[in-house]
Amino acid sequence: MLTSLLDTIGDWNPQLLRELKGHLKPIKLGLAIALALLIQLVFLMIVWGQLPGQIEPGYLYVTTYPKIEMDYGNTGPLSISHLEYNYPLEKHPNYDISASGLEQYAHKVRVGDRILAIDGQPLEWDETAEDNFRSKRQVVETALEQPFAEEIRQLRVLPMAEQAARTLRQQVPGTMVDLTLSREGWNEPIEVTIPRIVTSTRTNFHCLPLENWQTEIQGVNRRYSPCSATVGSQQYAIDWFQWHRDAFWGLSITMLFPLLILGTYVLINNLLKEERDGTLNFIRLSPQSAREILLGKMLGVPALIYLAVAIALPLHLFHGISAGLGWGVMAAFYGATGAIAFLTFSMALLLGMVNMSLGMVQAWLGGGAVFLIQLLCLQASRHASSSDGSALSWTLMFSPFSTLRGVGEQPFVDGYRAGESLFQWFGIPMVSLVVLILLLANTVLFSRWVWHALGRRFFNPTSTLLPKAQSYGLTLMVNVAAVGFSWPAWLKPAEKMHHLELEPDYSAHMPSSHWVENHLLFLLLINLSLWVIMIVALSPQRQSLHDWARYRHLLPAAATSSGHRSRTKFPRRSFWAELIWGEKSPIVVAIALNLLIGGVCVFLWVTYQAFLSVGDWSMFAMSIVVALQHSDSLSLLTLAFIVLLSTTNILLICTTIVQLIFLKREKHALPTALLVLLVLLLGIPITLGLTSTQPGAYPAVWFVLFPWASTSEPFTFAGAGILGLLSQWAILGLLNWWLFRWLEKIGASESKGVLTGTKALLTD
Amino acid sequence: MMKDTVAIATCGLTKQFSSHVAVQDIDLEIGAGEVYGLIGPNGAGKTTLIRMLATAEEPTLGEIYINGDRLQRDRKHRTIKRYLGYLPDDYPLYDDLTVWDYLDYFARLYKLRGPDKRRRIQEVLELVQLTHKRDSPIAALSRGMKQRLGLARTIIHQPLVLLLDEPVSGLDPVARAQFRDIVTALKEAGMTILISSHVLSDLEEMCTSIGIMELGYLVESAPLSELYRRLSRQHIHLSLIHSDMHSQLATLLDNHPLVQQWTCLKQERKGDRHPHAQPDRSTNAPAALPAQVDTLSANSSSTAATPTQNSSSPITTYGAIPYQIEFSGTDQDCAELLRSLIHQDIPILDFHPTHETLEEIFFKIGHQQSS
Repeated sequence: MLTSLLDTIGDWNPQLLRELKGHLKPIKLGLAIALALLIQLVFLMIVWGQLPGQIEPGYLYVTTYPKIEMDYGNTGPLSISHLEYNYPLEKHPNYDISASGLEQYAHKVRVGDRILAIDGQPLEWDETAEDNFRSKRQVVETALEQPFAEEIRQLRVLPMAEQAARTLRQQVPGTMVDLTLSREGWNEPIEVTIPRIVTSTRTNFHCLPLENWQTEIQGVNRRYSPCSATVGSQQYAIDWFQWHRDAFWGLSITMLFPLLILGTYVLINNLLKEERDGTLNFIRLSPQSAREILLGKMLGVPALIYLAVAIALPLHLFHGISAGLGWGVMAAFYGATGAIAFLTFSMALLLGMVNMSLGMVQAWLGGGAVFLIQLLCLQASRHASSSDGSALSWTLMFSPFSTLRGVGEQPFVDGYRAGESLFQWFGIPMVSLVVLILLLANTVLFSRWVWHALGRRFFNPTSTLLPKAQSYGLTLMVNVAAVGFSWPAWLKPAEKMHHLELEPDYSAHMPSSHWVENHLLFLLLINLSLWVIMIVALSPQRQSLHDWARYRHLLPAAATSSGHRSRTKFPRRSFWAELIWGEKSPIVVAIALNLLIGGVCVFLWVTYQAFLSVGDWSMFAMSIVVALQHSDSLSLLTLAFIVLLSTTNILLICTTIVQLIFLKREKHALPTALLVLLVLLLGIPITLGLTSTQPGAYPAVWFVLFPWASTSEPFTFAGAGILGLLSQWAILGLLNWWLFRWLEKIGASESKGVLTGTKALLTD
Repeated sequence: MMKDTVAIATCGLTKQFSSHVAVQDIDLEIGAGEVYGLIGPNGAGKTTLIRMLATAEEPTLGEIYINGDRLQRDRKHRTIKRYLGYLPDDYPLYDDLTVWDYLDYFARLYKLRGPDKRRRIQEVLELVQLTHKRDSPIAALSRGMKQRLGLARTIIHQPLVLLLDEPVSGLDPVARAQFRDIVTALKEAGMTILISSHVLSDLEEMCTSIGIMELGYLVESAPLSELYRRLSRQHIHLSLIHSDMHSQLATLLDNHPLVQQWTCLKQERKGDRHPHAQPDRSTNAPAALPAQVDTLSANSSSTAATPTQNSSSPITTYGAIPYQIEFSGTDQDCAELLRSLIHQDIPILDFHPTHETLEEIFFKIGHQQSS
């Protein structure tokens, strides 16, 4: 049975069978199962421990309804400073908690009333005593608790506490307190009767409030509302529904994080090991496709982790269904989890293919990155709401929890916001199924690119992750998708004007409300990350650069599949075409094109926002003309343009430096390059900040290094801007001149080397 | 057109590692069914060449054809991959699998299924003599067994072309002999085998053609027979029972047109085809100086470790007089010479034609280590 099952698996995917055989050894299996069960046990113990449990006498107290707080500091008769409407512990038959029951007493006493007597006993104390605050309080409390003074005292004495609590819960309900009050505006003292109740100071997130309690309790955070019980019960009434929700979320996180982090770790580790040992070559040499092999690895290498998660699934499902999530929602959640895991593991495989010669550190880095990303996504899915226009909405598409938010589930937060949209994408509200569909679409789209890169890298570890030609499409796609998240179409026309206020400081007609700034930052961040990704994905290895420099004139422009053995002269590409499309050529021009595509998208978006603030194309055109004619300062639109341009310049300078690093170093080229980028992009601004250089002092320097900081100084900007741009271009030109001189030298010196080598052989 | 005859062909194949050219403009052609031995000093580019043929390395320039089909690394070309079997010098394995599971895995990778797969695994296990180890974990195998298992993995899918990179390095003589038998069996099965090795005597036994690499260039590539014909001198080792007939033998050898040179190994008694050779000196000398070996045979003793060499070393039977004759004729001519010797009643104890070994040829070509 098992053999035939394994055989079927092996016939479908040999790699999967191999991984299962390698990883599902009895000892490992036993350990994984034991660990999974242990974690569940500990988890259950923790969530069980969060329940309020038994009614402890120590938490009980007797008070009136409403609870009266006095101002003991005053002289003369005590006045009521505050009233509390805590509900009683239980719905005792001796009193009616409906609107006509306990509620009728709610307004019998008022804040400001002065109490003259309790149960007919006038309140007396020694006004001259030093500590009269305390004695007053004692007098009042004794008067209020008088019939049950003994039981209340016994509540604090352990052996008798249980009995006292029982007596109090039986006898207090239904007893009344008579108060003699003097009220402002009334000449005569008035007599008021209010009931005594037993209530609990115990609060717990999983406590049920008193059933049918009609006050403003609902909507208040339940963390601060007292626990209740059914009549005579020794247990607090528990909100099982809420408890299951919390357990469900807790278990989801407990399962998801190890699944993704450990899965990423083992996959990267496995690939690096196979590459290091040289066994991956044999698999490459087999007629299996990269897809089959890598899918087998993805399913097989983390098999033990999958098993541990599967063992926890019944408990998870039980909590989910008990929390009222329904089978549909659970299926959507599992579907989303599967999709996210697939995407995460695909990226892990890709990271495993990019050998950065960091050894095991690389696997830990991968796991750490997944942890941080998922933490960010979890926070986003917990707190995101459409009202704040979260600029990080996209992160929701990488967390399965967003499917739960889509149906109104919000973890660890009281109350429901069912039907509320998380965010919009091009005006499509994200509710229920739409979230799942968009999440799946997002996964499919990203996975497609990742698997394309995987296919390339698997068969040829020296190739770049992406061909330059495809990078342009990817940049465009990501930018269009990102703009979708920053699309204010959900605002009604009337709201638009209100929402996108004009910035009074600038004469330009440019919306610079919080929303636009937030989203502009988001778009720029996306493009910055895209730039880093492109550097990693497009950079040819040192050897490729050398080959390109040396043999460019001999290499075919396109891989032709001619079956003839001849040194065919392939159609050669021009130098520039080679820089734009060639896979082994330096990346500077290709990165510049990618930045241009991103920049155009962002600029169009900014323009559209500016247009929205005006609302009419002809007015918008006019406002631009007016802004451009303004001699005092540049319009914000032009400002945005120049800042975008100079930022692009900086990124290009960094790109050239990275390219030089790749040309210089064989080992650790990628980590070195990324480290240098980090230092360049963060180190310089931090240094400038530490030396407290102000943008105003050296505007040109600031502009060259850190253009986005200069925007706060619009008046000094024009001159500095032009000077800054010119110096950036000079640096960029110089670096590139150096780069291409170097490449030329490599090509020339090696042909010389080969020629002299041949000569030496001939003369031998 | 070449599909039937040429199994491996390269055209202008070049590989460069930064400033170092590992393989330089190689045009290689290996016929189907050949066993091609690749020799050369360390760093000559043998491994790089084989890795390129096995698609483990991307050529900087040039083209590779396997069975007439162009090989390109970034293509899937599943058919070509089925033609190829590659065993690198370190033959890495998976320590977490058993022998059977390992072969089963690769059989499946090569799309073998069901009973065919089982039969094939059994076949290769028998071929590499590992049937008794089928359920052992790989980690428990000896080095020789691991190497044979690596070979079994390489041939599990019955490739047409086998690329073996220094397969016998680090193996003991018994394991090497086992390996030679396996290669011979594979050769009989019709596989084209490219094998690089430093053990030239092994290659001499197994190969039909030899290629010599030097500093990234393929400096020699020819069938073994042609190589012998062009570069190897043939020797005949001959012993007389006693020295009485020395002068007759000397006369005969001096007058034979195919004898380039001859030496009596019992004493410094060199004769050549010129009439000034002094046969009378050879009559009294043999008894005086027992068992002296001249410089030539001292040279050949450097390779005496190999079985071939053992069998061709001069016989030093007590009292016998050994001669070494440099002979340029064919086997027919050898037989003719023997017949004429017997015809003249020369008491021959031993007559043994031999030619220079591959190793001697290799050294004679005068190649130096490139590193």
